[in-house]
Amino acid sequence: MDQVEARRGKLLDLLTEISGVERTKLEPTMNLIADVGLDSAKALRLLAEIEEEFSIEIEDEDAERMSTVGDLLDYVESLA
Amino acid sequence: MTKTGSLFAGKPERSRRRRTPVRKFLYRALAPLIDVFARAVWSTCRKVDADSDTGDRHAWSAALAEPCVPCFWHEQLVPCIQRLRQERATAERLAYLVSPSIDGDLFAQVLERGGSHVVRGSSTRSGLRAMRGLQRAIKQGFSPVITPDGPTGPVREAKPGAVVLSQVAGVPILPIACAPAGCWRAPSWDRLIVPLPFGRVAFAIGQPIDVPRNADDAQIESARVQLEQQLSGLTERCRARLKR
Repeated sequence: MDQVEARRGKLLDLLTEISGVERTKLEPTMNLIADVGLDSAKALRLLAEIEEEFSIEIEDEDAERMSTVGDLLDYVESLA
Repeated sequence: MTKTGSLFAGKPERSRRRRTPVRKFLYRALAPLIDVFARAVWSTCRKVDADSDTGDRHAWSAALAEPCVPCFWHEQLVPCIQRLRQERATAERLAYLVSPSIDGDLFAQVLERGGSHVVRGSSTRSGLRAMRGLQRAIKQGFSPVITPDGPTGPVREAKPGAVVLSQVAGVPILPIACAPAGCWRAPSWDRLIVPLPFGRVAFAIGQPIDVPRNADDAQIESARVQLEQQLSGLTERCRARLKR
């Protein structure tokens, strides 16, 4: 459980750092493009940071399913 | 299936042309003809280095020996690609992003004939997928060629894509520019340069721009401005060389 929380926390830190949206304002239902403001350059940075942080390689098929903050959280939880 | 509103969601392709067997055959037949014609015309041009009296082949192969992100303005696409395709060994280390539409098929085939790697994707219609394709190409040892003001402008205004790609892949940006003594300008948004046969074309390679892996927004913007300044400065250097 602690490991899952740590992963969630790290992901939200990365999202805050790249998007500029305060961590307390990030909600699982927020759309990554429309609400969080990620464009393709920021999304590329985010995916690269997640890959490095968690030592994984995200498949395009997995990234295709990510549209909200909640989708990202679910993805990193599934890595545990 | 891409989820609606996902990071990979893109706009649909605009082209209404279909990949019919006749069109595929036509493109396969046309690609070698275009390739040979372009090389024949290019061979009549005299290439000069902006800083010396020669074409300086060694500087190009040395600059492109390791993976990097070669960048030039979209208006200089034709002469710069021809220059990069000039040596087979260099051409084989390069990757190009070409539209996945039927319109991109012909261009992709011409580039592949020169030995280059082609990534099919569109920076305007499926930006993230295209960028991930180029990032993967770098991991495979290719250098993805980028026109930072393309594909639709504004002219000579660099977008941050090349800088971010350089950052996440950990390879430097390599600014490149050229200027022809005589050319035809296409009636496109960037007034694309097509050098005239038997004319001189000056080329210049700039200083590699390193983007730290942990660069913040301000550092990315600084690298983007540096790229813009180098490309404009190099173009001016090429123009000045032709006046000598």
